[in-house]
Amino acid sequence: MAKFEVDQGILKLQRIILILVMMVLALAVIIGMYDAKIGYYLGYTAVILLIIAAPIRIIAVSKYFKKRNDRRYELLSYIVILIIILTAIIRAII
Amino acid sequence: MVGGFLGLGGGIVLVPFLTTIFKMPMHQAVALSLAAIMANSIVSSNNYMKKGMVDFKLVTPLCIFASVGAILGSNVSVYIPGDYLKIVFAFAMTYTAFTIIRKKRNEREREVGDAEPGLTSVAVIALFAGVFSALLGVGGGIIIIPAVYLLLNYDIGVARGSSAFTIGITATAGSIVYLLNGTLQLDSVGPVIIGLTAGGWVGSWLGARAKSLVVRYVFAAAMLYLAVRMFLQGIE
Repeated sequence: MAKFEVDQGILKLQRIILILVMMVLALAVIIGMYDAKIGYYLGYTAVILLIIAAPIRIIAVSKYFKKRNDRRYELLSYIVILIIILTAIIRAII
Repeated sequence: MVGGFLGLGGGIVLVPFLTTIFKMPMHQAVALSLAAIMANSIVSSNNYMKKGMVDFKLVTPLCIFASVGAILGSNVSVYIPGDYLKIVFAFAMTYTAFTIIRKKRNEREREVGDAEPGLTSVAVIALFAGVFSALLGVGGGIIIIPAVYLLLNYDIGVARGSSAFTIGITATAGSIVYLLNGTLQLDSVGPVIIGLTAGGWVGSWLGARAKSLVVRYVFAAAMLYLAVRMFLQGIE
């Protein structure tokens, strides 16, 4: 089977994001049982963190290409961020 | 778990579960599923990445063109009769499921260092995946994985790993909209995301270690399940 290069930087970054989101969500569930309002805001924070995680992950991918001097794919990864923002705007309008 | 194993988001199981058992309205179930997919994508792609099963040269164009295709698809959906399309697509998915099973084991698959598949071919596949996922109301993974496996000759593991990374990125735009318009039920996100992510971790851990033949059969079974569901929706 084809095995592609493993980028430890992206792996670590994703692990940190996941731990952070899971901690906030666990708090949202536990605190939410006593105070629904705080639980709601913690859930909101977790979703915001997940949304912010997408461009952060893509920036990490662009750095992966930059390290390998692959300018074409580095630029393409920045376009991904642009597309996410544009898609959100277009969907919100439609 | 199914989503993580197959490199899909998990919406294929989660959405029907939320709508039938918890009687949640469809749009709220989809919003919740998209939020959970973002987390599932992180955990699944990490497990696949550890095994060298994510090709970023495939992920990047897939993210761009699948998103563009989804916008196109949601605009054209008004002019295309969705029910007929679902019936046609149910047959196409059945055919693809059997093609995946029948693909010869000794057929050469793309290796690291091989020439890149070419932006144009990836772009066309991703565009179609985006358009059809929007038209049929399914996640992009169920179209991307067989297309990348059968048309671009990637290993099915790499197709699943790259799809697991891609779906998390493409789900973000939809999640932003659902969060802003208040469709996303924030009091339910905790248990749903934690549950789906835990299942996704187990599924992708197993999926990254499973034999290609086993994965092909499970994937084909998932496609057949979706084909039947689509056919029934189409004739309703």
